[in-house]
Amino acid sequence: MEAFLKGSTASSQTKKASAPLASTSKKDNKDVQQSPKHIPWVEKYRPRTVEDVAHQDEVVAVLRKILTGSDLPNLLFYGPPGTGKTSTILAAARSLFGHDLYRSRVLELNASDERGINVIREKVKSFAQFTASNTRPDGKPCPPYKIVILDEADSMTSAAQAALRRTMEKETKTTRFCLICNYVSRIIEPITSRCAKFRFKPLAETVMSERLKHICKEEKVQIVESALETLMHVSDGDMRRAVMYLQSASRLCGQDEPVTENIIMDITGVMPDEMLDLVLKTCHSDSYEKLDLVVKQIIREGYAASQVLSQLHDRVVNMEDITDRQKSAICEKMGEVDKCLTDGADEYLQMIALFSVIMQQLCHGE
Amino acid sequence: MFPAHKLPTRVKTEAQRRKLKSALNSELWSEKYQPKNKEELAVHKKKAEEILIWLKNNITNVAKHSAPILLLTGPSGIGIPYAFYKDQSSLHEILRKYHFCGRCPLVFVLSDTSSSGSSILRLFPKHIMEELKIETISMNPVAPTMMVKVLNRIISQEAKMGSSSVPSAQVVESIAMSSGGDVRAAVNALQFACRCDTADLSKIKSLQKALKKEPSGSKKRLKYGGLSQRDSESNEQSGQTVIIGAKDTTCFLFHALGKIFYFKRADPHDAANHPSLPAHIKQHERDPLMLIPEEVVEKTQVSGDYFNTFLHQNYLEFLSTVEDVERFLEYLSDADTLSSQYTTRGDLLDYSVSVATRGFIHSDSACCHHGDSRKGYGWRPLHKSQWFSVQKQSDLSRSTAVTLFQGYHWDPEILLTELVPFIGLINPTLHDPGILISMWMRSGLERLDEKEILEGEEECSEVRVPDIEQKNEANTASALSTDTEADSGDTLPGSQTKHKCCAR
Amino acid sequence: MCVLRELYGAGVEKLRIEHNSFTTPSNKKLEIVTISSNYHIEVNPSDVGIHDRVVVQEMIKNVAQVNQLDTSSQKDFKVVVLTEVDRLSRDAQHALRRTMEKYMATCRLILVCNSTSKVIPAIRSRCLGIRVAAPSQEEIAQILHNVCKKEGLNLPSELAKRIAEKSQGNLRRAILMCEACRVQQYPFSADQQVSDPDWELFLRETATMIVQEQSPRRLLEVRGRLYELLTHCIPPDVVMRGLLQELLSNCDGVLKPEVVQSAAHFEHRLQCGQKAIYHLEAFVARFMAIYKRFLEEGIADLF
Repeated sequence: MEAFLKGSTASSQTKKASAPLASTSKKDNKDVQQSPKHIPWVEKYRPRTVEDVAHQDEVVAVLRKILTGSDLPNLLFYGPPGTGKTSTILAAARSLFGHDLYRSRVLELNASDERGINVIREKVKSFAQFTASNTRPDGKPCPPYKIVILDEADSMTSAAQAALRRTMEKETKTTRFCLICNYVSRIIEPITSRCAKFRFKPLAETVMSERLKHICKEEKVQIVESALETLMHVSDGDMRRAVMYLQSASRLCGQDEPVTENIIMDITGVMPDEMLDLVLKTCHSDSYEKLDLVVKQIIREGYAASQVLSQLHDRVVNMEDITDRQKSAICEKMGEVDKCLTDGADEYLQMIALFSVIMQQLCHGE
Repeated sequence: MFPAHKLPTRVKTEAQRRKLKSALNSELWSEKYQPKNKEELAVHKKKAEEILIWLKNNITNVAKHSAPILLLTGPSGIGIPYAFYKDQSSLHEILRKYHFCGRCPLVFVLSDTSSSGSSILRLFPKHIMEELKIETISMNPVAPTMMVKVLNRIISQEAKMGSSSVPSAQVVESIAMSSGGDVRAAVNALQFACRCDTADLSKIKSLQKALKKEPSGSKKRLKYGGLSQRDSESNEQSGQTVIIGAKDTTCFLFHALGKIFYFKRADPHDAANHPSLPAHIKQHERDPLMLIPEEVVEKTQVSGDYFNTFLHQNYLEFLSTVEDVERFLEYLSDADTLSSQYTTRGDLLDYSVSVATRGFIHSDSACCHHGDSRKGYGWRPLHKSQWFSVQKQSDLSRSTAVTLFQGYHWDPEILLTELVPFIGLINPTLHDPGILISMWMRSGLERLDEKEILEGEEECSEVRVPDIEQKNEANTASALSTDTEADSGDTLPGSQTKHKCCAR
Repeated sequence: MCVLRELYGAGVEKLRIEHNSFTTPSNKKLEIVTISSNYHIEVNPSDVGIHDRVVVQEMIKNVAQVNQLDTSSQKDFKVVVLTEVDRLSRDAQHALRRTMEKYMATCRLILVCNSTSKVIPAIRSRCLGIRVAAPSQEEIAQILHNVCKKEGLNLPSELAKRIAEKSQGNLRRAILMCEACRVQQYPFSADQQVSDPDWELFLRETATMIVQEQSPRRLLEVRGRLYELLTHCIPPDVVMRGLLQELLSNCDGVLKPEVVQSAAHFEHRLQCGQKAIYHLEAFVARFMAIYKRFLEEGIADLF
């Protein structure tokens, strides 16, 4: 107990226990088993080398050249999440500097670190101050610069970005910057013009399935082919999400049972088709009370409104028995609902509003 | 003690006490013409009498250990040294000492401008007032007729010396009115007006024109500009007198509200190019307004948001149909959304109030055109906005509830919408006065006044997962008690606070 | 809790309440109440409003830096339970996203939220999503039976079914309702009244008032009642939803789509804006206008 108290006061946090701590003895919990170290698969199967990076051919080609000795420009990686942006630059840096030099040569800053203007200036400055030699301790040659990785650069304020712009110019001799973001439009123009831009594409299904199969083999997970397809469909080109889902699914099933489509559906929160059918059927019924019940059911089942929205959208666009005009009316409402949901509006109200528009269009439109 | 204040309105009291020498060599008229006797005072006679009586009483019979203290309050001017704002307790200390051993009466002169109204309460809290038996006499602003008298006296005296040009009666009047009851400001303005070159006087001439428009002329009992609601022309004129350099008459919030609520429309034929709308939106056509809502709001010097809450509190009295109400609320809803985004708040706040006020005016379908009379809208009392008190109350109940149920994993929403109401149903009789420490929820129409007190500290540290069923058996960490005495007649605070439109 | 118990054994139930204070970059002091054991810490960061980012980061950092005492017998990570993640600001969610990965070795997060709609995709892709569906009515009825059995009560299945129906999949509510019934009347009878929380009754009355008369004066009365609800901490979105339900059950089917649309519209405004009362009132006024027009047209059709 004492030891714990010391431990907590030793941390920078100012903790005030409002009540005296109850005496606890945990020695009696010996039944707790020693478990093997669990590394999330996302970390475990992160690409280690540039060559491992899947699907991003352009970037890989450029980086390969750099690895063989040519100069590195400032980089700007952008693209949807889970396409390997961070992995790529980490792998590249690792192979450039080797394990020993990595710590002294690479500075990683991300949104969770303080990234005000001052931090950008001071931290980057002090990091870039010392010129790097062009040999490794083990004698192998290595490039004479350091790398600053700014992850999630799109969440930096534009003032901080402006400060960065000057720093980038000043430190060109010793430092290269690599900015990583989801939306290139949120990076100010002067910075994008100073960087070599690379767009990371969402992973193609073939590439993903190959990779996922590889992981399955390594982890001895059995997976049904249709489940794999669903997995790829729901993860939408996001490798990290796919791996995460796969791990969850395999945990759920245990070692011996194969991962099935339903399990994937369940953990990803995707609404099953029957539910969607029910929604549309109810919309056809022109009964407001039924609609109300359906919405309540959806919420009770715990499906997210945004998920419902995107699935419903796919359905509505492909529906054949309604006119384009009706479709556009529905889609317009969908856009509005999406915006409202993003703003934090109530799910029940938004869903019922959307469904009532659909009902209106299906039963009374045209 | 405290520096003597050169306020003409108040100097009299000090003059009586100290026989102040008037600073005759001063350039400023406001100092030159400080009142030297009771007759020259611009203060209302009764007030002056009141002060006089107080002084006489207290000078003649000063009881030992209780030196009398008088607090004089009134608008405008600078009060007490600001040092005391920071250290109020030392002021109170000094006061107590003085009260104990002082011989002569002490008079404080304090100004209470609309914004610093609370400072009096801060400097002289109630307990001090009672402890030291401090008396207060509040001064009203000087009436315009009195003001004109004072100004004319000065002019005649100046004319005797033959120093400067004599301004016309209208100018004097307008100065008196724009001063807002502040004699010092009026005298300063007068001096300025008399010293002006002819070029500057042209400004005043334009003013005179504006004045001539007023049909009532000088015969009518004068009012200060910006204070009248029914007389829109005098409003207009008040806007112009400001130019003269006199005091900027800041509108009080309720005056501004009145102006919005009792808006008037001008004759469209007077405005040269008032556009006409095409037929399909003809129902939205309105005659030009006779006021600019943005200016009215600006004069109140409150934030647009705050203004909107007052608009919202009172608008229902002024719209007659549900359709109008609906339209206005849509605008108000827009206005609120406009100003809420943190990043753009600064820029959009002004627009927000603009949307709300203009939204109100446009929504009122009873007054679309010039001369539309809005019958039945006689004088209505305006109310203070309830929103803030409601919010405060709700924050209070929320935090009390959260502290009472601290050991559990409920989030406040569930706690208050589900748990608390049901506990009210479950435990209507469980009542243990022994541990009844404080009541935490006012009861209105709902029976929501439960309380829960955690029994002793040692249990706090070991709160178990709440088990509602066990709770009833009273063997858990908590003991419930319910206060069933509902004071159901209790209405929301603030609703009864009435504020008159016409402060003066 | 059950998960944690599995992980760490009974020690996790030795809880304590702590007041932690943090300092924001703008030097504002924040206080937040956490519930923790030696193995985990539970916190609702949305309690501190816009400063939630600081809390999330500091909290996780602190927890992660304090190593587990006795690594031989325990799991080598601590657990941070964040409740109401869907109420976190965007800023905080972004901050969370990287912090999660950084301290993966020493601490794991359990995020609790009502819906994933408001959780940014970046976090969703880093988490194992477990959808916890509400229990079905049969399940609720079954649980009620179990509870009553333990309490030595006899619960008629008819009543259990009705309570389950009324609770709308909310087990907590169901148990509370059941207890309220017991206080009202015991032994239970199959047809006894299942009472709603009083604010719902209050809301129902308010809705009736709106349907009865549509005038500015009535709106003023309604406003008073809305204020009353808000002072009792009923969240405005709950009020809006409840009001919609009650109004819909009182009005003609033709009007329903329009009413629903306007409810959704003003509820969205309410979330964006600051003064909830404007939007609630606007909704009521809109309903009044719609309803009045409907009535007037109905009368016109008669002649």
